[in-house]
Amino acid sequence: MRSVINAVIAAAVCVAADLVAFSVPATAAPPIAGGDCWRSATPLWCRGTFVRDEFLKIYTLDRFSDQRPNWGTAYSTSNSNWTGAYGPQTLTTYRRERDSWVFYEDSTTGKDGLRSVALATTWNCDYGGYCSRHAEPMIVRFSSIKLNRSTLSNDSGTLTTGTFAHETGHALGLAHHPTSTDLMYAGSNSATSPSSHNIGVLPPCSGSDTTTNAGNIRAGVRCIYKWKS
Amino acid sequence: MKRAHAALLAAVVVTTSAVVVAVAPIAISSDSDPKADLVEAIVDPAASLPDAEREAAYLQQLQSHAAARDEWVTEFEDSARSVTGMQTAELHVASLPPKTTLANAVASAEVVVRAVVEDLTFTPQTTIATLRVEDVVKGPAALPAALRISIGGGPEPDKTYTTGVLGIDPSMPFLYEGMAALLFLEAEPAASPMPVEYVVQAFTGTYLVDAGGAIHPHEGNPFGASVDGLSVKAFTDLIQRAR
Repeated sequence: MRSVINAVIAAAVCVAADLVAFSVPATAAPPIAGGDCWRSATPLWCRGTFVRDEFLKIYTLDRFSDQRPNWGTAYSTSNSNWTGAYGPQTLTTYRRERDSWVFYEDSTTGKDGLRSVALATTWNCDYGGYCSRHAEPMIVRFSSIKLNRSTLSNDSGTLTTGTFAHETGHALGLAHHPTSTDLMYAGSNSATSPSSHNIGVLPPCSGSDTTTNAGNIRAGVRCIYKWKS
Repeated sequence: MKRAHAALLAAVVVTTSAVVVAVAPIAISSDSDPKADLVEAIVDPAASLPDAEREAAYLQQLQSHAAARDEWVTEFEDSARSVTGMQTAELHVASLPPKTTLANAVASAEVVVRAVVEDLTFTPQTTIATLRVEDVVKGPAALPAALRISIGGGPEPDKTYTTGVLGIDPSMPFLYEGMAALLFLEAEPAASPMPVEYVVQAFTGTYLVDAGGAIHPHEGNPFGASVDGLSVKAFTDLIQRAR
């Protein structure tokens, strides 16, 4: 009888221990109320490599230098600005385990859906062979940012830096923001860094989803949760 | 031995409490948080490949999608499907900065016309609108009565490549057939492969004309509030004075 009780107790301990191990993420980090990576109750949009409460590790690849070598500073400044901002995202030009890739490529008017008034567009691709350049729920495998060398000047001025940073926001899952001075505003401006409009502790960060996207259920998300300080 | 049992029992109680504490939030979040299942990363089959092969796999996916998308848009056009009533989705497109004043917008526009959209042609790279020009506010008097221009937005396939969504370019409203508008048009660059002569100015190039004859600027137009609701005549007069 005693051995049966011992066996039952031992089994219970093992099961309980397994449950605990399963439910706790491998890397502990401050919990985020209301959601994990992106804003809760918005369409699902995450990178598949992202694990709750860990860094969002983005590997950025320069695929423009052969055509536009002078964009290098804009590229590195954009990476630094996103990594230096609050939030789980860190962008590097070197590989890390379980990173997610973003290509920065030069393109031109008439390719990749770029018109002559467009500076750039971002394609996000999922795990099923599909890619999209519009705001919709998806789990992103990798991204390809197409920069229009026909409209961007051949330097790393504010317009170019802001365009790199803006498109990076799309690769991170952000939709456009209605505030004209914001990085994620659809028309270029002097912003080159994300702000509290784009990353926040709790929703809605800043700005409303419902104004410009009323009736559009594929609106994407407005902000990234902050936890990294 | 009894002591050992007591220790084990205590362990069960403590561990069970921990389970309750640890599991409960997960159970709750799975009801309310659609991302609860993202505790585990998704395995990317390309992740185990050498970098060059992984990049090739990604580029192959992009190219395959581009081919499928082009085919889908072409089929959409060839079968004369309509975008009316399609669900909309904003495109991830950044555009040139808006002109800050009406004078700048007018100066930058090669042509300003009042027109009605007569036909839309969807291509993989752009949507071409054929306009019936009703008035030339600025531009050559010899402007063709039917003008073909590049506009923002157009049909995009969804994940099934069967149905689709209407992509909306944030720099302008989508111009459906039958819509009337005052349009500020810029010359398409000579080197552009687009089969049009003009493109709609970003943000400050579209003023929809409602049934009552009032004009309405697009969201993001810096001087839009000052002209919203003006009659076509009053706005046209403003344009002429700004030249």
